[in-house]
Amino acid sequence: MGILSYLAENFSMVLETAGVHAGLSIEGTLFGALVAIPFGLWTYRRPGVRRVAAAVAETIQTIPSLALLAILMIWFGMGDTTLVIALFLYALMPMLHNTVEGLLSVDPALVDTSRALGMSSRQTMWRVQIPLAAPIILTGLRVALVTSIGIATVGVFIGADGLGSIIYGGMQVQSAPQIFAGALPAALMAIVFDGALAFLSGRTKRRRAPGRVPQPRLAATQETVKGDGLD
Amino acid sequence: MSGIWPDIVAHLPLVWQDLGQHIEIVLISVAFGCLVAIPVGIYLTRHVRAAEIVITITGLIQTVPSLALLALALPVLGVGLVPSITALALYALLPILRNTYVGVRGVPAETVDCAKAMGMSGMQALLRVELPMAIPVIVAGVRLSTIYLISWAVLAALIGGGGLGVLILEGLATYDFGLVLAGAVPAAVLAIVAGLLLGWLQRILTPVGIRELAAGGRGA
Repeated sequence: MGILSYLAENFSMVLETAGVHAGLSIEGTLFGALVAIPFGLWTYRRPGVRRVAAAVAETIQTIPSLALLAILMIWFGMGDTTLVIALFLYALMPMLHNTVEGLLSVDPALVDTSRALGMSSRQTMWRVQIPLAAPIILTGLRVALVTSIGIATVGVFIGADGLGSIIYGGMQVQSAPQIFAGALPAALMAIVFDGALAFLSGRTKRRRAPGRVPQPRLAATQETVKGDGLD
Repeated sequence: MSGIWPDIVAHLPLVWQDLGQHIEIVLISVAFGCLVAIPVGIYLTRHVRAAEIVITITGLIQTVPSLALLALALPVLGVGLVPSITALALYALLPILRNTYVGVRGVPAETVDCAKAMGMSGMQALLRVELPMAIPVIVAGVRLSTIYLISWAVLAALIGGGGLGVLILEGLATYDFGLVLAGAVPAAVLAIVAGLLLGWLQRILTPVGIRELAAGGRGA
């Protein structure tokens, strides 16, 4: 029993908390995607705007999670809302960066060909560019979601729900089994979502892009952070 | 908000002390990370099968939420400055190791062959060709590590690591927003400045040839 005792005794509570945790993480990430993907579509041809937006998003990304949560808490109060706002902000950078990189990775010849075949620019975007960029955009979603799950654990300090409350509770009473009961589901959740989105991203690659489409370069790090020297 | 800035000013001596400690913790951890991860990363490029396993494991560990890992370090390593630095240093290894491996592996085989054909030994080729070409990617790893660690060091206050996290957590516990900001604002500024500084280092350490290639056009 030992380390798993707390988990075994409180299984349904842990499961419920994990559900809340997943919900908050997904919510924040999706809000980020809803803003960053359209913005990326609009901005990828505008290098000036793109650079400014990327710099802003990257600066936000750099801020330590507890610091950003604490600052936001002063304006938005304690609770889940502030956590979701922070998760939204952290999701912007990977989503925006990967949307733009994905669109730029599409072979211009394919775009020209589509236009020559009589597609409007809107049709080209929906039928050619977005499907070809999908694997890279999904990688952005994957990075954003995994980051989000991690940061959501820190939400406990600003009074948000989620697995952080079990972990922090365990730290306060110095109970390794309780820490484990919060940490294990959080880690598993991140790994499972990571794997699931990697799989999905792989699927879109195979289905949509037979043959000679430029593949995304091997990301040097989990985050395809801009300026990683590979782009 | 007018009531808050004077609060920060009142806490300034504490801020300086904790900021110094924060920087110290991060520097020690990152330095340790570089010392271990860069040689190991290079070694792995020569042993691809071992590398695949190690890179997969580091990828998995990086997926684990930071609070979860720090909390798990608590029962194992205990409370205090040394356990915090140990936990942070171990985590600092991951991005640097990964980027060293990817960076050195990314050097085209033809280029290395050329260097050897010109009479360079394996070590010379490594030091004069492979490493300089991989430097931008390696420094990107160091940069990422540093930014992560500044964030982690805030949380390390929980396991007695000190640093700016002490102010934030204390402020949150007592609803003292001045104290919260006195910790959070310098932590944010520190991370942003470190990011810019290492980004700049990355640019100036990039060999001129690669810089020109990159300027010549993307996707080249």
